[in-house]
Amino acid sequence: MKPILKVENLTTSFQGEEGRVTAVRNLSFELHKGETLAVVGESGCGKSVTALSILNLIPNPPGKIDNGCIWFEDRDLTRLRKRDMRKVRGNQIAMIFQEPMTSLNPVFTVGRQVMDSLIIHQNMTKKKAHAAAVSLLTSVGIPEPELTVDRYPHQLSGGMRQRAMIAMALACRPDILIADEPTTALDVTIQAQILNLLRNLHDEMNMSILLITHDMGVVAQLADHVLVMYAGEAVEYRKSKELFKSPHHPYTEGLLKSIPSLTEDHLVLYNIPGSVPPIHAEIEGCRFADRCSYAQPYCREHKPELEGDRESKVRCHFALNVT
Amino acid sequence: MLKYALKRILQTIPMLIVLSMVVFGMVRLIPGDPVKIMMGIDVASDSYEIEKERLGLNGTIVEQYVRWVERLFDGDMGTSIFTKKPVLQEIGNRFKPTLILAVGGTVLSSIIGIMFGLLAAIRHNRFTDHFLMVTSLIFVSTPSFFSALILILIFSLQLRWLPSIGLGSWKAAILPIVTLGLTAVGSLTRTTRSSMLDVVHQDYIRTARARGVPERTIVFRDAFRNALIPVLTSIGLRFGSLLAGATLVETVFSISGLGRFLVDGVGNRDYPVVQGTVLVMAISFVLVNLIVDLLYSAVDPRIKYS
Amino acid sequence: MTFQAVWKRFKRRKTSLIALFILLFIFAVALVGPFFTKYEPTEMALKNKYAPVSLDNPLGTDQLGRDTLTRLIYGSRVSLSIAFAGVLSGCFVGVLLGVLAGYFGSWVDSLISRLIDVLLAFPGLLLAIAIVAILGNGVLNTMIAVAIFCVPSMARIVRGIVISLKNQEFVQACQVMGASTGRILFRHVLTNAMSMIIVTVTLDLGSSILTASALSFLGLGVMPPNPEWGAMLNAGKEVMRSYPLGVLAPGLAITIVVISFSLVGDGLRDALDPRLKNLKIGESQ
Repeated sequence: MKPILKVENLTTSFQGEEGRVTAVRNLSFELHKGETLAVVGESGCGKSVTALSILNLIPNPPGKIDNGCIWFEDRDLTRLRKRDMRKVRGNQIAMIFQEPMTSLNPVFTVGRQVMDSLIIHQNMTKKKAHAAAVSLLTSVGIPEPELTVDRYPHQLSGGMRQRAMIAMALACRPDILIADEPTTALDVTIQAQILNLLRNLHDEMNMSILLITHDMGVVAQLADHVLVMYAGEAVEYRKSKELFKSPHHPYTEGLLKSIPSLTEDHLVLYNIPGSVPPIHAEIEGCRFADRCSYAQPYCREHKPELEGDRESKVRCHFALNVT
Repeated sequence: MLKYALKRILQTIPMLIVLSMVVFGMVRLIPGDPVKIMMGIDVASDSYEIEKERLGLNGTIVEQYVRWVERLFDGDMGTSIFTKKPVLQEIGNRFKPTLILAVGGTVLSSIIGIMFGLLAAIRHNRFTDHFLMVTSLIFVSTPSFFSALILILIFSLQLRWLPSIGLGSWKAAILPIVTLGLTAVGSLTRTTRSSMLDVVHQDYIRTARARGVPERTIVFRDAFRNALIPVLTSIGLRFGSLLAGATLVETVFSISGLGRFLVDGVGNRDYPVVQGTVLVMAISFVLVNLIVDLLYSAVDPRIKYS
Repeated sequence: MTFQAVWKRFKRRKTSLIALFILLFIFAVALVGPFFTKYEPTEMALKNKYAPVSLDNPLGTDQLGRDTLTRLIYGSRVSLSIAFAGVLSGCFVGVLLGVLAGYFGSWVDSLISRLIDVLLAFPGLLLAIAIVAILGNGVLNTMIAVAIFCVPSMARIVRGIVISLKNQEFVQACQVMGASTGRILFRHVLTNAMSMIIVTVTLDLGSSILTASALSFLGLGVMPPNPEWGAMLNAGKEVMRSYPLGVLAPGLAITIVVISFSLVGDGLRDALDPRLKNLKIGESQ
């Protein structure tokens, strides 16, 4: 089956104080209809930049897509004219952000912001858009939608704001929803509610979700496939279930180990030793070698490629759990 | 909303009380005997006590203040020593030109300043931005009495397009209002620009882009509404400087306004006049800032519904 | 931060560097210029009035035959000394009040804050006029007016810095280690607030030149025939048509000095502390 979104060799960089910094390096992946793909990694690994690159929302300057194609409906989004790109945004590909506190405009009502994309993309009248906004707020589980539609963001709780953000993103029934850390800023109980909501909506609307997160717990609940990123590069791509069962990349193993587990007798928090290499450092061998407990001298001299078949890829010379 | 308005109005009352004390205290701070300084008569003179009472300088300082405030509420600001007319009446005659200048200057500078600021922010770090920043620096740094003279030199003496005296016709009002307005353009341009640049980097602007909102709408609707909030404060403060700055413009254009009245009062040591004008100007400033604060709620729903 | 580091960063902004050189040149002229002038600033030569620009009178002469360049040079002394003396003493008082209010809080803070509020309730020039109304005119009183003009904004800025510093860990750590109040105030709080104070003083110098010359222009500050720039403008405006240089020269002098202080202030702000982005000249007026 043809993927709905295909990212090929994406490279995005930023102009920093000390020269250009490559945030995403030669990244390729596919997203299929109805699939939920999680992109995971530590902060600074380039997962958010990937999401912003797809919608061409990288602030330029200082950021720029240097290379690569993003195929959507036989068009390369990186080469789209501004006006055509705008027709994709919020209409066919929508996005929700991490901070529901700051991602809503404080001077406009929630309803007006939900109506916005309906009026822009579907030429709805204000009256019709208002009614549509109410039913959207209902569908994302906001109580008293007729009243909330005319409230301002500061009058809503964090969880309600995130629901409003989701309503806004789903207004035009997009083909793809990009969710950038949708639960990170929320309380744990609210997180669960939002994840449930996302799953239900996903089943209902059969849209594809690109889920950006650092939280393996969120991945386990939602994702079909997982793309693990490290220092701007993809290091592993697997089916979610298989990844949790038997990670191939030592970094993935580390991520899974660092999920606190209560099933054991005593709680041990694992952390991957060391930290992400400075993003502008040009490294000859494997970028993870310095933090890898399995690293061999060979790893520091030879850069591994992302290898494997369509369903399973890994970037490691000595991949784990491979028979 | 009503609660907020009420709170803000109540907050200005202690301010006005302290302000009245300061203006009342002014005359008492004058080194030497105020009766002698103002009326030019000695303690030995027969009319000394009479004049002292007439000026409200008899009794303890508290008695004097209470009496002074009581008279204020009756609309009595004393009598001008120089013109022998009631101060309030004189102020009434001169308030309009000053108000025209200050309001005209505020409106003009707000329009130009906001336009410049928006333009500079949109063209951030490009030629237009640099040019407008240099222009606003020159506007802020040029004394109004100098730019007034330059404008007169060009438009009245050389080109003979506009009169350089008075405020009688709309034509005569152009140069004074432009002169006064220019002094505030610079700071309003800077405030608008930095406020816009600040807002443009906010998350909700990115959200609007992600919704597919056209760039123009983002700038003029989503960003501008937010950027306006600090600009409003700045406009309120500018109004105060223009009110006081009108003094200079009135002097250059021979306009008989409040500022000129104050300056003449200072020159003539006519203290009832000085007290009255200073009080009226300061109260106008406080009231305008109150109005600006109330206007906030129209722009910023966080105030309206809290 | 060392002086070298600040200077290195300051140099990067060419406009600020040029402005600094202009100011240094004007300071030098104010300092030694009067030793080289051919005339006295109040020396009248009625036969030679409205003299055109010449080698003898590079900026011509006014309606009383006084040499404008000479008056401009002497005037720079008056204008600059009023600005420096006024701003430095005013800012000193402002810093003192700000530190007291911010550090001690409670009723000290309330009292000082109310005082600041009242002073700020007088819009712009009005405060200066009111002060001169009480004290009378003259160089010294103009200086005092300028000084008081600087107090409230400086006090407010320093108070804010002190309050935010007070809650920071390193100051609290000093208290825990038993350092005395005075020591903490001067060692830590003031050194940390110093860059902000220097920038504010520089920007205030510009606004003060404007205020002082405005007072003199109104006939309330420095009185003629003393050649203060504002007073020169006032005298020149009557005969502007016959002798435009009498207005242009002092007016441009004021503008250039004020612009230069503003640019140097901006440069200092960036060099000392890039976080202090939004402090600008004129805002305190």
